[in-house]
Amino acid sequence: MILRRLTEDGLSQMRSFLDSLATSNPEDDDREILTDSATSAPLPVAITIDEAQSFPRRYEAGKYLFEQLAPLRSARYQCLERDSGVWAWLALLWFDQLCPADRHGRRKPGEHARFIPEMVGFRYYRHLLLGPYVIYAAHRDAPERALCVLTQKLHSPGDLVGQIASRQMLVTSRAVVELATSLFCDKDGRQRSGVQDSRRETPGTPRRLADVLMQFDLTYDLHSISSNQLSSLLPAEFGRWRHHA
Amino acid sequence: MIRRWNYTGRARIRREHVRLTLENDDDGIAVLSAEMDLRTYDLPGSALVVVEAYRHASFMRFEWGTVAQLVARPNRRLTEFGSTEGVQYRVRIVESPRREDARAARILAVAEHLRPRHLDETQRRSQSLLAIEFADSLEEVWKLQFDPNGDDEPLLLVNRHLVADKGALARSDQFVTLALPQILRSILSRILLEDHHSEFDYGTDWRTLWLRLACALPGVADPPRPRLSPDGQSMENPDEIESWIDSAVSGFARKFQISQRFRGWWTEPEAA
Repeated sequence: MILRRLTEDGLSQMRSFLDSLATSNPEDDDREILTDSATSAPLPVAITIDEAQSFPRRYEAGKYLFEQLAPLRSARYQCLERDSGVWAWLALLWFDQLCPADRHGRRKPGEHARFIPEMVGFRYYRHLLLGPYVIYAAHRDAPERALCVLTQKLHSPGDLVGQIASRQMLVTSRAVVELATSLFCDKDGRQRSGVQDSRRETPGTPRRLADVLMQFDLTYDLHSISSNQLSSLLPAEFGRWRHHA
Repeated sequence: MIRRWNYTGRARIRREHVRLTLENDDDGIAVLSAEMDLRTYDLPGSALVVVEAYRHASFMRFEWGTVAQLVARPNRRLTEFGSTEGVQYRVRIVESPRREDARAARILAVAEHLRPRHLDETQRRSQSLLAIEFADSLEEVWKLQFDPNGDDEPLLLVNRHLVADKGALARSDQFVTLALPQILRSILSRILLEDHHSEFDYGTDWRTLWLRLACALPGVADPPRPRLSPDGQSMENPDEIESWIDSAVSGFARKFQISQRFRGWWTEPEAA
């Protein structure tokens, strides 16, 4: 399909659809929203999007979108890269992947921001496609470095993504994402078991790492530090991960 | 939110000592320029000066020479961002690097939440403490949004589909009289009653800047320091703080002549 953007009417219909999923009468996702001229509009540049693409992880989604959306990073079309209608259109296109039905056929979409991005403020990363896209773009020179926030399934990013991606200082630091990947992912790039623990009081959790790193940020330059230097500063509570790294 | 403790002794560079400017080049890409006066700070001449621009996960760092010799690199184009809407800026003074794997470089001084002046009039932003941004997915006309991590300053979001000129909305008598006092109240409540922020004098933390602004309003005393119970679970002086917040909002209303401006536009509906 050729990429379009949802209009205000299209976004409104999408919100109604998402809200309906929490009721006893869930609507079907109306695919016509994607092409109807009342609910979507063409872009000034033709970008082909393969609806059949299947993304095993956030990584593959970020990579595919980074490659396909290259025209939107040009000066001429730059405003479209931050257009919420474009990202909502993509989320609706791959809605089955982003919000799979459980064995009873029920879907639990969660907050709207997972499908219709909030482009300003602090919750952009919660969008299930924009989040992987911007992180992949930020680490495009070596995207495997950012597997800590790209290895998860599209529909369930989890707490590690929340802890790192929500903090600009952390997600933009090469050393931080490289360290978090070495701690929390195995050699095949899969998230280690036990990483899902999101309690702040549990030593060595991603939440604790984020707290410690944000404290380091007051003292050290996280954009010139190496991951080895950063690792040597970590308290002993992260030893159980370093043992595997 | 976990509170961060700043015992690092790093210096705060005053905003008046850093002037950032943006100007679009022929390709429509914003180019960053900076003028800095670091002479009054006790910083080593060899320390590196960097200017950083960031938005979400996009980040650009521009090396600007050393404290002793400020030198801008030729390429200062903000190519990572497309539109500069929502981009934030800061200056950091960092220890000069040592040999590989030596001690990590420390931050010696910072200037945060800098607002560049756009030479392109259409992109000029407010110089106020409250950043105003368009939002696409609002049902309301406006919304005050706080960073859930508490790291970044609050944003005033304006519904892009209802308002074309967000600055004009924020300056309108209707908005100033009906919305701004409550916005100030919300921000001060967040700072003192929820974040329990108690650094009033030093630093560039957005909370400190807002408290300084409130203290500069007519008739407003220094804020009481939030006191927590020994177990840290509750506040001991919320009434005292709410009373101070009321006085700050009253001072704001006096300074900006809220009553007079309200009467200037409000008309009672005629009785049926």
